[in-house]
Amino acid sequence: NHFTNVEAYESDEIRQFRRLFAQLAGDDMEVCATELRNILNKVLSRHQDLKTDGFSLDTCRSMVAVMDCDTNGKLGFEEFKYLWNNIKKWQCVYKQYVTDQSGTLGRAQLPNALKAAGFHLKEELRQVIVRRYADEDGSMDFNSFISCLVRLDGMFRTFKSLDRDGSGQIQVTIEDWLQLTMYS
Amino acid sequence: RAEGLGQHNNAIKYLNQDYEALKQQCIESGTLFRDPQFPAGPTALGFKELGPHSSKTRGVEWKRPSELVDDPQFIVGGATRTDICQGALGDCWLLAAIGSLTLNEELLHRVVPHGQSFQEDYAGIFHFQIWQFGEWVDVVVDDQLPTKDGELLFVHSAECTEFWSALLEKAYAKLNGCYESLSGGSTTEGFEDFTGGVAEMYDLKRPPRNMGHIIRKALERGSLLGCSIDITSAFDMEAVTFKKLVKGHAYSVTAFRDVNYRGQQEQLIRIRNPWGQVEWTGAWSDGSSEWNNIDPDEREELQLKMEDGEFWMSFRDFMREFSRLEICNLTPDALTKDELSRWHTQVFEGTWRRGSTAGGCRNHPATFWINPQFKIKLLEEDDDPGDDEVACSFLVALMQKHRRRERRVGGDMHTIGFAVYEVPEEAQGTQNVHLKKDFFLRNQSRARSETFINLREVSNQIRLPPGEYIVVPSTFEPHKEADFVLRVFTEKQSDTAELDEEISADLADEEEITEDDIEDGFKNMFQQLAGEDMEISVFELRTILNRVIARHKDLKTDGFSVDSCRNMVNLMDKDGSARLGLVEFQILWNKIRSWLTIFRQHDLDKSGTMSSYEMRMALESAGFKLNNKLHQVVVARYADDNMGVDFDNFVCCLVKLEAMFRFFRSMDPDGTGTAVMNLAEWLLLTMCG
Amino acid sequence: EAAKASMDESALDSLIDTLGGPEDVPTTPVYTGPEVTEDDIYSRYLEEMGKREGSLPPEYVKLLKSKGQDEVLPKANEPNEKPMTDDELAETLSSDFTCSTASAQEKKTSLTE
Repeated sequence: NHFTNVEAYESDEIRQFRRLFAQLAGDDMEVCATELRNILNKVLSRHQDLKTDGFSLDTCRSMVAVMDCDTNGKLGFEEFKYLWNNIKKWQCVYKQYVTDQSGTLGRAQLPNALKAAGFHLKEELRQVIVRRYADEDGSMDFNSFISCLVRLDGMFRTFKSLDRDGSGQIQVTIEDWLQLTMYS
Repeated sequence: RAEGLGQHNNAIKYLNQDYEALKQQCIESGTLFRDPQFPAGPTALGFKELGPHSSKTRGVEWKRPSELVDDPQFIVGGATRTDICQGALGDCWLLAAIGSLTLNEELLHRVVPHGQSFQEDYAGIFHFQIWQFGEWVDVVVDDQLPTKDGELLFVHSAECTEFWSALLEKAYAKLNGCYESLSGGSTTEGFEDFTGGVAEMYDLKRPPRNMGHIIRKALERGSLLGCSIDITSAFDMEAVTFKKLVKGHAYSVTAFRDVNYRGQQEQLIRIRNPWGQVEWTGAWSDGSSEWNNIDPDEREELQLKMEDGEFWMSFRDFMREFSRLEICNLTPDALTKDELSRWHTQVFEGTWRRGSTAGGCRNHPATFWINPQFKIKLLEEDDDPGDDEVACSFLVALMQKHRRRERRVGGDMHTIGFAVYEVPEEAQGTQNVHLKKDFFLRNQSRARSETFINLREVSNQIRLPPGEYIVVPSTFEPHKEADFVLRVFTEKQSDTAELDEEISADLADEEEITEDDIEDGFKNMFQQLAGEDMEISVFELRTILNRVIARHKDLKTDGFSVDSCRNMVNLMDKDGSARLGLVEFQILWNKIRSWLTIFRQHDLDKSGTMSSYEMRMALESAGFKLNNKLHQVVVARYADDNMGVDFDNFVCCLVKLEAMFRFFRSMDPDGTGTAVMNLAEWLLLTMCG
Repeated sequence: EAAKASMDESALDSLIDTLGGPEDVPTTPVYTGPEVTEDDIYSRYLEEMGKREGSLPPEYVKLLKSKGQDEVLPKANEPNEKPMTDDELAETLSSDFTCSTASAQEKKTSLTE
C-alpha cells in the first residue's frame, strides 16, 4: 500500500535511530548506495576486528536493491532500519566464528556461522554460496559475508511472500522473474 | 485487490484503522480514542512555519470539544456553509470546496457519514470518507483539536458548539501528513477529493461565449463551483481589492439567478468567502440600493443581510473582478451539453522515474519518448446531429499523486501536462509497442494540454476523428519523479491500454560451441593467460577486464570490482568450478566484443556512459526487449547518481540479464510463460547471480 | 592475487586487440528525414490560493502571532540537533556492534530450506 505511516508513538531508541537516519540520508530522506558504502566503510575502519577489503559500490547497490521495496534505488527509514539491525546481528555472528589467524571466516566455519545467523541450508546451496561469495581458498571476509546474508535473507523473504498459500511452490512469470532477479 | 474495494460504498480503511472496531474498543475500555497514527502534537501541526518550536505554534494546546464548550454537537441543524469559518491556516481552497459540498446533501454525507455524535456511543473517535487518486478511503481521527487562547486555531463553525467541519479538516490533514501541508492549493483538489469527479478550469479573462449558461447548468446538475482572483505577480502586494474581494483566495459559487431589475433581466451570482465574513461591497451586496428596485417578494427571498461571508454580485461585475473559475463535474456527463449522455471512465496508474520514465515534455526530444505511453482507441463518433464533423470527444485528466505530503521534505507539485499522437499505421492494432524517439521527431501531436501547469491535475477536452491515439503524460522538465493517475473519459465505448514492450530475448544457441570450434590463436592466448590450471579465475578475469578499460580510454568506468567479476564468473560458469574454462571464456569474450560495439554505437553523446535512454536502445540492440517497469529496475540497479550506466555496469547488467533469461527458460522448457519452482530451486538460482 | 603479476603481458595485449578499437564501430544510422516542427511548449506557474498571509482572516493572523494563554517555555533539555560529522555518525551507529553470547541469541530468525 502506498499510504505510508511516518508518525506514530515511538520508543526513544527508535527516535534516536530516526535522527541518525535523517543525518545519513540528507534532504531526500533516503539512503542511496553511495551513502551506504561510505557509512559501512567508515564503520569498518573503527572495527578493525572485522576483516574486509571494503564494500564496493556494486555490492552496496546490490544490497540496496534487495532491500528496496519501491524500486526507487534508495532505502527509506524502515528498510534501512531492518538492514542495519541485521548487520548488527550478523557482525556478532561473524566475530564468533571468525578463524583467529586470518580474521576471515574459514570454509569449515561457514555452515555453523550460517546456522547461527538462522539459515539452515542444504549442502548444494552452501556450495553455490561458497562459489559465489568465498575467496579461492573458501574463506569469506566480512563484506562478502554481509552481502551474502542480505541476499539470502531477501530471497527467503521474497519466496515466502510469493508462496501465499504456503504450498512450498511458487509460480512466476518472466516479468516477475526478471524484476525480482535483476533488481538484487 | 478485492472486487469493488475502494469504491465509495466499500472504502479502503486508511492505515488499516477500522472505525467501528476502534470505537468499540474504546467504549469497552471506557477510554477516549487517542490516534497513534496521527498523534496530537507538534508534528501534526507542521514542519516549518507551523513546525515544532516555531513562534506561531507557541501556546498551542490540543483540546477535545468537551473541554471547549459545555454541550458539543457534531452537526447542528444540518451541515451548511455557515459551518465553515476559516482559521489560521491557508486552506481556503479546501474550505471553499467543503462549503460547496454542503449544497449537495447526498454527496456531503458520503464524505461525512451519518450517525456520529458527541452523545450516543461517544468515544472521542470520528471518521470521514475521502477520494484519493481513484479510490475512496475511510479516515479515522480522534477529536483532539489544536487551540490557542481557548479558541479553535483552524476551521470552526459559526455555531460554536458544532465540530464536524473542524474534524473533517483534521482528517484531511492526516491524509496529507500535517495541517501545514494544506497551506496553499486549488479548489479543484478539494472538489475532486470529496466527489471523485473531474474538474475544469476557466480563465475568466478569456471566457467561452456562454460562460453564464455553463455556470447555471453546472449548478443545476449539482456540480461544485469555485472562483478566485489570481495574484499576477510577486509585486502584487494589495491583498484586498477596493470593494473587499480578497486576492489569491478561494471562494465558493453557491447560486445563479435572473432578476427583473428596472424592467431588464439582470443576472446575479452568489459567492461565499470561506472566512465566514468580509463581503463584496459593490452593487447587489447585502445592503446595496439595487435591491430596492426589484419585486419585494423576490427581494425577500434573495437578499442577504448577515455578515456571514456570502453575498450577491452582478454577473458582469463577477466576470470583471474574478479571474478563475473551477467547475467540478460529478461525472463528466454533459460537460458542455445540456442533455446527459453516458461517459466511460478509465483509470490508469503510472510513474515517472528519473532515468527510466521521467522524460519531460516534447521540448526535450532526446528523452520525451521514454515517458509512459497510453493507447486509446476511439471507435465511434459522437451522436451529435447538429454537427457534421466526424469526431469523438474525450476528456483526459492527468493527476500527480502524493505531492502535497512531500512538502514536509521540501517537495511540491510538479509542472505537468500531456500530448496526444496518432498511432502510426504499422503499430495499429498491436498492443505492445512503445513509440521511439524517431517517431516523435517525424510526427506532430494531434492535441495536447493547453499549457503545462504546477497543478495537481491538468485536464482537457479533446475532439479527434475515430482512430488509435497515444497519450503521453509528462512533467515539463525531465528527471522529475512522481506517480500519477491518468483518467480518460470517452463519450462512446473505447479501448485504452498502456503501450509497453512485450518481454523477450533473442539469445544465441550456446550449446553447440565446443573446443574444436575455437581458433588456435585464441586457444594460445588463453593458455598463456590461464596458466597451468587452464581456467580463468575471478581475479584473472578482473585483471583482463580492467586492462581492457585501460586500453579503451573512451569508456568511462570506475573499474570492475572483485564482487562483480565473481558474479559474472558464477553466471557464466557451467561446470561449477567457480572459474572459466576455455569454452566458457570464449563465450564471454564474444559477448564482450559485441557489447563493446553496442555500447559505443549507442553512446550517442559520446559521454563514455549509457544515459538511461541510450541504455533502453542498447539493450534492445543486444536482443533484449523489456517493459517500462523492467527498464526502471535496470536503471535503479545499474545507473550511477547521474543516471549513467558505465561500462562495467553495462557488462554486468547484460551478463545477468542473459543468465536470468536462460535460467527462466530452463525452468519453463515448454515456453508457457510461467515457471514453477520450490524454495531450493529458487535459492540455487537467485543466490548465484 | 598472484595472478595479476604473473599474467603474460603480451598475451593480454593480443587478446584485447581482438576487441578492435573505437574506430571500428559503425556509426549508428541517424534519422535524417524531415523533422516536424512542434511549437515549443510553455509552462505556467500558478500561485496556489491560501499561500499568502493576506488570504487568512485578519483576526486569526493576530491569534497566530499571539503567545497563547499558557506560554510553554522551551524545554532546556531539548536534544542537541547539531549535525554530526560522518565519523561521529559511524561511531554512534555502530556503538552497539559488540558481541556477547546474549546479544547473538536474541531475536534469532530461523529460515530452513
